[in-house]
Amino acid sequence: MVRRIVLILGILALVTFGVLKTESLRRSLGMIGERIGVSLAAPARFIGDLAWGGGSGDLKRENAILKAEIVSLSHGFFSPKNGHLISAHVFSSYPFNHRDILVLDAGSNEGVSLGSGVLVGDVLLLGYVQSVTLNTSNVRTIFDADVSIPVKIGEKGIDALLVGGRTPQLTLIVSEAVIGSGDSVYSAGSQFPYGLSLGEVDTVKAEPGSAFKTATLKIAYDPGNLDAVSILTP
Amino acid sequence: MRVRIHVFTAVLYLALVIIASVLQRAPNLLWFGIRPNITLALLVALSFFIDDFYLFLGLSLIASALVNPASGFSLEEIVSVLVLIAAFFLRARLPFGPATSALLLAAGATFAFYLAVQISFITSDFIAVFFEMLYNALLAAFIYFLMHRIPRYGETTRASF
Repeated sequence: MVRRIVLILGILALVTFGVLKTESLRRSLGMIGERIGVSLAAPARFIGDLAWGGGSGDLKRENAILKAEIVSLSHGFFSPKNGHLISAHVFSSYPFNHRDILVLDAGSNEGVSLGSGVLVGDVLLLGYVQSVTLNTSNVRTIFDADVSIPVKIGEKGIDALLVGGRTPQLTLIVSEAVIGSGDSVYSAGSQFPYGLSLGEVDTVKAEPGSAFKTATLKIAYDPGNLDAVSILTP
Repeated sequence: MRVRIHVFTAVLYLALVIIASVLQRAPNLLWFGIRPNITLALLVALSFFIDDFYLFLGLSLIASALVNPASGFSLEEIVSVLVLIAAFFLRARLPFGPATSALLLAAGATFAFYLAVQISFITSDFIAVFFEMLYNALLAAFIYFLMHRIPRYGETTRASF
């Protein structure tokens, strides 16, 4: 009898907790998670650096950022650095693999608005703000399967649709289009400024008889190791 | 003495669940791009040490609430609890040893979770699901071996305090 009363009270408490879970709780847990995550990831990163050469990831990322800046300048695209950027830290992420959502420590108090583009290294488009609270924002990244962004590829600006996922795919590329590995990929949809870099074409796959071909997107950064990002503001 | 052990083990389990829930949301804890479900692996392993269903249910509810601390309950939270309850009742019915059962249950629970939450994820990215099943299974077996060395909830013979 006592046990049942305790159970009912416990469930009631949890339901209340579930409904009233506050932003401060979410923020505190996220902060703790970030600290623990960084601490635990450090030894793994150290071993990785020893095994595969330290800092090569950072160099690749810097290279990609420079390439993206060159493409942006040579085409006269929108340069995020000319816009207003808000810096934010990634302090938590979606706990399961079927979605890729990051929680940032900047919200409407800092000027973040719904749908804003989120960038890595101030240049590379990572995703968009899906929801905002006063001090935090949730970002749906291009590694989420539900994300699709119209993009253009290379000098000729060949149309494609980027479909998110663990390895983002470039789809609906007309089979006659000539694209190759290393071609730059940039945003072309209305939700972001035109010309934001996403990465480069990796491998192209064309099936005989199909009107379209697909390609994979090469990302120059490790999405699991993002500590800080920038948010574009209107 | 028995009550003390109950309290000690319950607090230990609660602490483990809280730590696992916090780790579950840590942004950098990806293994080759795949996030293990630490809370699921932990609770599957703990189910072999907890006889009291209500304690297990409480821990599962707390874990699912902490893992997704947005307001309200999401489908993922509800499914997590249901899958863990199923694992709790299945654990004694499997014809294997507890470590093997923990391994299989963690893998099965992971698959069942995605089956209920987003079936399209299994077909669109089976590699991710497979590796998460593998991670969770190994993690559950590892936690089982670690927990095996700690006095069991309700056990009085190994009391030392």
